[in-house]
Amino acid sequence: MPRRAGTFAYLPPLTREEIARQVKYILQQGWIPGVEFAREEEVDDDFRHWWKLPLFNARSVEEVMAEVEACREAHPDCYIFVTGYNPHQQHLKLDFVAYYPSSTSRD
Amino acid sequence: MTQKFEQLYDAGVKPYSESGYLDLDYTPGPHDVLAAFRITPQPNVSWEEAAAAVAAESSFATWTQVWSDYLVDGDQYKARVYEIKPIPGRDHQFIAYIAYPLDLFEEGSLPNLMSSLVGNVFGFKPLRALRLEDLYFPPAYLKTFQGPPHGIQVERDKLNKYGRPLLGGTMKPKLGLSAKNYGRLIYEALRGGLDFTKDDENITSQPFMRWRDRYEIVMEAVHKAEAETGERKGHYLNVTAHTMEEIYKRAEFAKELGARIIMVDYLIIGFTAFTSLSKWCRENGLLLHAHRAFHSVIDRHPDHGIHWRVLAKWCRIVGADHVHNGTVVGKLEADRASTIAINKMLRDPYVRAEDAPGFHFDQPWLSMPGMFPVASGGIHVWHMPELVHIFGDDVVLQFGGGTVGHPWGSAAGATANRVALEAVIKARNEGRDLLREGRDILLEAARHSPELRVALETWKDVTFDYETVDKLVTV
Repeated sequence: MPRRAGTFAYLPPLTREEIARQVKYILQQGWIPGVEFAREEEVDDDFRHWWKLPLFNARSVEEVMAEVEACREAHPDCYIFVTGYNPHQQHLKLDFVAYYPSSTSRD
Repeated sequence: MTQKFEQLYDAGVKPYSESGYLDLDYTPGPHDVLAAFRITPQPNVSWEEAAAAVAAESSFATWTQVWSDYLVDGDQYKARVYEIKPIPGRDHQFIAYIAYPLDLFEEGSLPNLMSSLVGNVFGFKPLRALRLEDLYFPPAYLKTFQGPPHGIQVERDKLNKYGRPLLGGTMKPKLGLSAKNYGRLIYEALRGGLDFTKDDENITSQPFMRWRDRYEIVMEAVHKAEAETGERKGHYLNVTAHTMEEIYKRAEFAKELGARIIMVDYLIIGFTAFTSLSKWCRENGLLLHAHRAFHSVIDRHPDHGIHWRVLAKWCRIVGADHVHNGTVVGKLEADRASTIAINKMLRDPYVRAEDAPGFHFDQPWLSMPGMFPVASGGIHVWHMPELVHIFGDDVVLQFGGGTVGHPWGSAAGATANRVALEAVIKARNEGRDLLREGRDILLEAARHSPELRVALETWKDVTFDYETVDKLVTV
């Protein structure tokens, strides 16, 4: 069974469309979207790996989704996280698994 | 030997309202502590005299003139009534606004403030009843307190959990379980998906379960559930005890076992012990959960005592990371608007009275961290959409009966709550209306969660619709 991780740990894996809706919410809130990846054993670490840096300049859902897909392609065996950071509260506000490793299947 | 003289000073009794305690032209200074009292005077006492008496008796005065008053510059220490407002529909009482000079108070000492403001004055005979409704801490005074040991942001970082309310549950039955049975309950609830489990407020170290046995087996349960799920979890180990030495001893042992969080009945142990424990938690890196047992004794009567919003404010100022506030929808008493306003007060960096019904003063919190309100008592999966709508993300939702009462057991109950919560958050982020579509959102989520489907079936008809005793009064 895959590790439980992130805001939607107990929901079935999200579809691409569902991921995009959460990204839209992040942008609507004025938060900074980010993409991170982690190997199985790193999922609950305080530090996962950033894909590039937080996407400070991203303005559209598709830009962010392109980075999510690129990260997934480069790291197919990793958990791919999407994050939303609120620079005014200076804190992470959303942090969910967009894609699970291609080798795992959720029950 | 006593000599006989003419009158050497203005001895005798003077009305408080003519002794410098009533000054309706006074504009509070930037360092004044401000209080709003609801005063119910005795029938033959004027509003002005009753208000001035409260200011006097809670600050500088005694009932008669004394010669030694002349040794002190009273203006530095006298509290002043600067405004009196009627309460619509309640002709026998009014709100008095009183400004206290900062020199009256010791830095960082809530007990000292309490001895003045909620001390003897509450038994003063010319008053039928007296209630402290709100209290403003000026920045200079606020900065002498440190507030929550960690606060919301640090807690989320410690737990690695973002974007949703935290999910807890109190283990039932409240009393009588042996340590091992109790540990089993906790393990089941945590492995099923709760972030936290909680000791009941009246569990300390009774004969059926001594504290040391409980702590050891509970932490074994926490660690096992963490290893199985890959998530960080906690159990609020209650350290409430009869001496401070005993409280420290239990807290130290919790730390030794790797506990992330402990709990205390903050009103029961009193504000001195609470301040000590709060500082201990900051020093030692443990989160502090405050249970508010005893509050209804002090805050439920609408005319007398201390309003809950003040007790809650004191909890943030002295410092816990969680405190129980109402659920609005659950089994325990609380006015809806008032509960929501108190949540704002606990969490926000600046609270405007106009946005927080029941509060009388704007309160800047400066850099003091916000804390998690805890909604607990008679809530279940059907409440989830409304709870998220009311409380937002920064809250701990505690489902005790709503977890352990699941027909398939606690693990299934925990999973049901977790699935419901995450489905509601996901739907909210997608822009769906939680109040209108809440039912559909839950039923959709139940399609992939048999645990949730059974929970929805079990609690479909449970509500707690009673009128609030302490209704919100607007001035």
